[in-house]
Amino acid sequence: MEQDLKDIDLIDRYLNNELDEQQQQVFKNRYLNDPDFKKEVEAYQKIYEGIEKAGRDSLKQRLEGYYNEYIDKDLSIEEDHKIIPIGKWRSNLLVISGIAASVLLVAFGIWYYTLKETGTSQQIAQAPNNTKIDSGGKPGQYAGTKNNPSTTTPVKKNNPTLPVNKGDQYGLTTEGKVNTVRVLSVLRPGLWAYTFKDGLLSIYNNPSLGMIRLHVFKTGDQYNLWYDGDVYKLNPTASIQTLIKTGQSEDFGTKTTEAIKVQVEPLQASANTSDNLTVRLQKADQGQYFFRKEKGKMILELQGNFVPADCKVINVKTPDSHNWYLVNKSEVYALDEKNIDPTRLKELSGFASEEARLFIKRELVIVPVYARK
Amino acid sequence: MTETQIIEELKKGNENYLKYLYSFLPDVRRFTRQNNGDEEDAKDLLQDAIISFYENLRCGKYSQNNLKGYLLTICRNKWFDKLDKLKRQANKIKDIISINEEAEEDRQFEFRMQQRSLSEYLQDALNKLGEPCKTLIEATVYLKIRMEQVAQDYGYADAHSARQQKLRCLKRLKGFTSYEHIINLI
Repeated sequence: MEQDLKDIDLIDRYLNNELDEQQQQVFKNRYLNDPDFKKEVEAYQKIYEGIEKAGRDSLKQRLEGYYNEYIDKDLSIEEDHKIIPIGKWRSNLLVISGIAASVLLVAFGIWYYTLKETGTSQQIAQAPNNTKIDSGGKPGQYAGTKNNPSTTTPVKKNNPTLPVNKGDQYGLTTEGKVNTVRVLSVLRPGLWAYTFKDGLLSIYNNPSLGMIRLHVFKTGDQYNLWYDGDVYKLNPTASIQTLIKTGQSEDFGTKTTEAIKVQVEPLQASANTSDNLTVRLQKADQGQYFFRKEKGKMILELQGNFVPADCKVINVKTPDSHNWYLVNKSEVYALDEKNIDPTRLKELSGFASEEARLFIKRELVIVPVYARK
Repeated sequence: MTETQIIEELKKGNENYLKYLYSFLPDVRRFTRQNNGDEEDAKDLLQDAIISFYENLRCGKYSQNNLKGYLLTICRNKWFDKLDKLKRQANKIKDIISINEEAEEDRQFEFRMQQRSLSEYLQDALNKLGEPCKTLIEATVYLKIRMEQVAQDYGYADAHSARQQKLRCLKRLKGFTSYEHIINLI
């Protein structure tokens, strides 16, 4: 090794705390007696310090980019429901492996049972098919049925004759089957309505109602709703009734010890089923959609990681427009009918968007009952 | 994306997998919100925690199996450290507030502003050095990845030849600078 590389080697080991006792002695002697070497050590000390700082600073800069990427996706800073923390995946995996294990157990049980009953390998091979265990949407792929063409189900992935693949020509991938999603339609503004049963008052068609301006009061046994100076009669009812205004009053009486629960229902709670749109939902990691027309009927091609039963597509009609929304549990997406090419689903944040709040179920509130003579 | 997958990719140096760690931000936010902090604090804490995690992971010092718990613990500790420091500083300022001292601090600050920082200086020097030296030096001096691993990851015959290359790169890097210049940089 050249002399200066040897020096760098020694300094590098010193700075990384890798010198053995003897080497430490050598280092110490040179450091104390050779001013040039001492300067060299100090310079490298600074260089190492600088490399660490530079490395950390540029990592910080890249992290800043990742942070912004995350924030862009997570439009609302206050709402935390968007990205599944990695930790949860593990528990999902546990659940999945649990399911897999139980399927195996059942399969083993059946195998063992058939073995005991008949003792022939032919029977064992057919066992899973006879008992119709679903391995997760892949029928006809059991080892046992492979040898037996007559029992193979004629369903194949991506069968071109099935309507499943229709999306292909529009640029959507088509893995798995198509599900339909409920389509609802609601007018806005609609008539206020309510149900009132077992101490629970549910209010429909006014999802952005302000709870501070709402009071419930009794005159005798009759319950009334007071909202912003208007008085409405409340009769016990399990079916949705229109709220009828009975007068105006500034006074709703004095507080009693009685209290009732009030639930302001989201817009879709009072919506009617609609058939002016067909929704075709397919499972995919990325949320996408587009509208198309077929024989005069409007079709929404939808992709995403949604459970069909949790999803609703809602048409909100106002006197001068109509808008489409996809509601998946507490997530709300705006759908634009003008998008006839695959478009990313855009989530409306419940924190920032008044539109989104129309569809999000609000918390149950307990209000005191007032009494007026 | 699972935790194991992310860690495997990061171990290989696939740095952009770090972005998945921001899915822990809501947890950090909740913590800072409960402890008089704001969004900016949450962001800084998580950033620092990710950096120590990544540095430890790359040099083989990370052996936990609960990444979320690990990161949140770092955030907690850093936050309480910071609060302690603030408290002590506040006490100090109360005790001795001298105009002279402030002036001195201002002067030093100006001095620092005029000069480029050590970090920037080295960043420029590393860029000038070019590849493969830049990556090799970052991997060995900043991330302190073991030489055996470096040889494997960056295609050197063995740890010894990777080390020889590192020393030559350091020599070239040193050539861009002078003792007089670098010694006063902060």
